[in-house]
Amino acid sequence: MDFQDVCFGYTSVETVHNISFKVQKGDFIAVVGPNGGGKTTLIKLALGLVHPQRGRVRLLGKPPQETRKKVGYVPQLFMFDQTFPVQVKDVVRMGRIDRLKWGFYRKTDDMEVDRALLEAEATELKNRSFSELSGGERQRVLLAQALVSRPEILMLDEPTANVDASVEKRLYDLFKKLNEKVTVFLVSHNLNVVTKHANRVLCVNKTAAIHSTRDLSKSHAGFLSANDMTVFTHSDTCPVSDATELLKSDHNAQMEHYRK
Amino acid sequence: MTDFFHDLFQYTFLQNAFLAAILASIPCGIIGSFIVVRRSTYIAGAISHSLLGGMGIAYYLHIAHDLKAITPLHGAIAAAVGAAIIIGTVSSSGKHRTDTVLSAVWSIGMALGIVFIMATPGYGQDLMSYLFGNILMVSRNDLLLMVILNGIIVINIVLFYPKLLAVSFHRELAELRGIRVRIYEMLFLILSALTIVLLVHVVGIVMSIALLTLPAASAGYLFNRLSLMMIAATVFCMLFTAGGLILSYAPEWPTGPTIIIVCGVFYLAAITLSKLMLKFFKRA
Repeated sequence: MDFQDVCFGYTSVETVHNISFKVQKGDFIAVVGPNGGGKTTLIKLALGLVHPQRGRVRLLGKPPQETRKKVGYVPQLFMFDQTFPVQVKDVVRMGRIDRLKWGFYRKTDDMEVDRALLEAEATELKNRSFSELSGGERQRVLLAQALVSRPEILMLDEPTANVDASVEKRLYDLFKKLNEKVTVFLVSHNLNVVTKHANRVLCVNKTAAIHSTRDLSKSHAGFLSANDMTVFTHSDTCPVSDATELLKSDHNAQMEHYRK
Repeated sequence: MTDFFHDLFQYTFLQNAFLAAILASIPCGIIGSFIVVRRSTYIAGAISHSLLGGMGIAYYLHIAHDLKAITPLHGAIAAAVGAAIIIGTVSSSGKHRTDTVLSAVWSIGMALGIVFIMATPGYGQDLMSYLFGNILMVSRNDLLLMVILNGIIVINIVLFYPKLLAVSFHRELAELRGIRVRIYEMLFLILSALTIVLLVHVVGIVMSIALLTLPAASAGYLFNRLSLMMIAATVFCMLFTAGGLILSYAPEWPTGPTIIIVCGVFYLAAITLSKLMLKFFKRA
């Protein structure tokens, strides 16, 4: 994934400004930043759901619209009709819909569904109604849907936003395991967990700069413990102290969330 | 009831009516289930009421200008497909309020229909049969057209069911997987329009929404998969239309409204049954 000087705003106000970074094959990138900082917009740009007003986005070397089928995506808030009559296996199969010209799914599709459910540790949910699942179960099913097409990149937009701490840990362990096969690009609020699993951190706010994590860790050791992380931010106007403040405020918000 | 079955083997009009009820039930169960799960009842209502415009114009041309090749059913097909295309285009553009456009299509269609029917020489007695249906008047030609429309609808569903399911369940995810969402949404609207045309003879324009939604909604209380819901809704629809036809025959009640009352009673029963089942399983 390659972002070069990308600017975008939903209105006249830019949500992301002059953002540049590269993701290498096999990376586990964690995207952190405050609410409204542009994390989800970054994913939308990467998937070609919105288009940069300036700059260039490349996904697997091509414009995102051409290659996004090779990305497995788990959205931040999966809004769906709770009364929709659909089973888990139907939802997972939808991840292979692009391979179907017409007619019904083939036997190979069903075999891939079983494999993806196994990888997402959700085999036992296969015949359950999707709307009856708990938050954690639903996330594992959506992960299976993302994996069923054998993606090269897994994009996860706050995948643990609505689950408790034990489920969150289980999911992060799962992401780490999956990272042995695919590149993981994950948006999260939980810095402690993120730093444990990610090998690089992309720190996003409206204005920021590229920093090494070592710099960040020096001024913010309590929150970031990994030694070999690089923080990419956008624009060169944001000093290190701002970036650490950014992470601190995010961490405080996280703590407040747990206290509640 | 014995009168009905006795007459069924004797009179062609009754055989036609029975066949029409069965033929209309197949797309009614399939497309009705999609309409229910997509919560598109208002769209179906707008399309069904716009039909009167096409039927009225075709009726006027048929009688006043002696264009015998054009029948009200042809007008209904043109109006339904036209309304579906307008609604699909407007709602996907995102530039207009969809509910306002639906209201406009709904009421302008009806207004056009009434104006043209009233402008047609004669008594305009067909207006009531368009609005409330008259299954006993179905002709062999109507049945042939119903078979063709049924074929178009069923073939499209067999070819594109997984894509229509994906687009209906989660538009954004379907789009991400490279599905041309707008094309499939338009296809759904056109198939809905053709289904509504099939229902005009059975229950009429006004009550077609009820026949489209009540059997499917009843099936939705009993099954948690769309494919099963469709099969059950089709069976229910066949039972309700045939049941309504049989019930209304001896006392000479209007058939369309009787069918809808049967649907309504079963729908209430399905709600009660699903609540009782829920209580039973919770206790167990």
